[in-house]
Amino acid sequence: MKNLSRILALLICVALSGCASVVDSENNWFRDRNVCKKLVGDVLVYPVFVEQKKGSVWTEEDRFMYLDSLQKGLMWIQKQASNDSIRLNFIIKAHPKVMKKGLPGKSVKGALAMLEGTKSHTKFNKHYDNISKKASSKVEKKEVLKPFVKKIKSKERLIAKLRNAYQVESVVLMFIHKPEELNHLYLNMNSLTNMDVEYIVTTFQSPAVINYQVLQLFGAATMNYNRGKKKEKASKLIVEELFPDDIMANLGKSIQVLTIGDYTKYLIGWTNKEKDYFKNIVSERKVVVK
Amino acid sequence: MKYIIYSTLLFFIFSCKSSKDIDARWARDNNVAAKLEGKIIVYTIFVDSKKTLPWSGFDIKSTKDSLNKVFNWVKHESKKYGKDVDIVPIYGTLNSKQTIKKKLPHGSLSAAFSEGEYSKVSKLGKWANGIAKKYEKSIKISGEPLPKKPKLDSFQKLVTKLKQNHKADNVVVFFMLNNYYISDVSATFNNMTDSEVEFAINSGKSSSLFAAQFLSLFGAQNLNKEAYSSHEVEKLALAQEDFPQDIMLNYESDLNNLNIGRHTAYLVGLTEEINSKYADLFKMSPIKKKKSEKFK
Repeated sequence: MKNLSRILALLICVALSGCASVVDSENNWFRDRNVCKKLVGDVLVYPVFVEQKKGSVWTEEDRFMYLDSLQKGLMWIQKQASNDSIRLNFIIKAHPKVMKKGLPGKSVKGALAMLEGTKSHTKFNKHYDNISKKASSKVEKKEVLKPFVKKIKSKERLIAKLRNAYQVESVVLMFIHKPEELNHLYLNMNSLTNMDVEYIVTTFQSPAVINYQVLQLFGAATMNYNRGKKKEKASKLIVEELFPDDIMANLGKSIQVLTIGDYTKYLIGWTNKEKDYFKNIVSERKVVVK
Repeated sequence: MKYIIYSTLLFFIFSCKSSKDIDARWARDNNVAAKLEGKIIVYTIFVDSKKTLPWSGFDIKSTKDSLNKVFNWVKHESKKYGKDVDIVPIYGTLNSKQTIKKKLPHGSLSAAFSEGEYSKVSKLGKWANGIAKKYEKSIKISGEPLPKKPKLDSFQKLVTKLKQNHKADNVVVFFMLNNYYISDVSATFNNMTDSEVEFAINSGKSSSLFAAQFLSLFGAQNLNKEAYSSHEVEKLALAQEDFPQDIMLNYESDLNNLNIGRHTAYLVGLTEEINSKYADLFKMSPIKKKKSEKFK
């Protein structure tokens, strides 16, 4: 637990999109957006393991262990769905080849530094476009229904091919990097825009963090509030009173003691009932707009 | 900014940009989808536009699934009013290809409307006509040839051929855009006029949205306050109170929980009578601009 909190000190969470100004977001903006709209039905989770040309590598055992954690995390979400009578079926298919490309900026620190730049999002997206371009050729032969996916951008192409090959509406595309000592990184890219497809970048193996990111991709909002901020005090009280064990409010805790609260259920599409107090919950997520 | 705030709304477009009051009953029993009865041909064309994503086999299949759900729902709802409707879906093909490439004016529907679609000439109307022309030529007419006078445009020829070949009472023309992760609006065109063929352009694959589009072509009044760019329904509260589950009010909800209320049933021709208290609900007046907007 102590180690985990040290790791979390280096965490950042950004819902990135195009560039330019930042505006406050509204609840409805999170819902039904981009590739992962509602967390229901068949959902393909497609992890792509990425390693630096020089540095620690993904051994077969490492990948096996990672997929085991991923499976554990996703089964937890599936069980929560089942408790709510929601049909949800995760299909996990790891990309067969480890991609040799590394992180944008060549390291976790480099990636974090890059995020501070004005053209960071474009650079990030281009970086993962290049990885997707190489990865998509492996999926080509698996497409089952004509017309097959034509010439489109790289990440879009990979996701479109995966949707056609596995006949699923939602695809969770994950780029998984090796952590560097205690330096970790997790990012959800493009979740609040429709200019590019959304995807996950992570170095975390903990089921709680993986689930946190997957739920966020489907619209869940982070509820880890800083006590010092006036605006967030009211939100924190609501969360503490009504869903103290919500996974989105307890990053770092084990999934065994966590649940999915009403607000998160609403955002990920498990219910359409919007409760009045939802309007008083401020999310830390900001929307970056063009 | 625009792209972020637009959700999959349904836009209801009037035949002209009117600054006068509009009555929803003008769309009743009008154009090629006149009354929700008898045999209905739903002719669907999948379009690969430049900025929307190309259609894949899975997207076409799942969109057809959504449409089938809509057709079953419409049949079930019509039965409640004692009407049997026969809906025959036809998916347009050209040289055995399931899709056609045609660049959408302005890139997206939302961009087209924000840049003044309908203020002068409808670019989207031209776009649709261009596509209809190609499909019309691919269909051979059975029986009587098309009349030479009055001269028919491509859209009219397409509809006439479909009606004649299938002995249909009504024809619905859908253009589908593949927007599986891009949010864009959907829109119906020409449903209050009879000078041009009515049609709908659909984005995404929400069955509730498709159902609302389908009924709009038959004359249903859009009761969602976000749907109109220039007008507003004066007595909207009446619909919210009396028809809370009506599809035209709630097309963002699950189709299984929605129905065709008496108001919509009257407009689409499922009933011939309506309580007089709903007379004011048909009225749509121009949105009054705020002072600050007037001087822009």
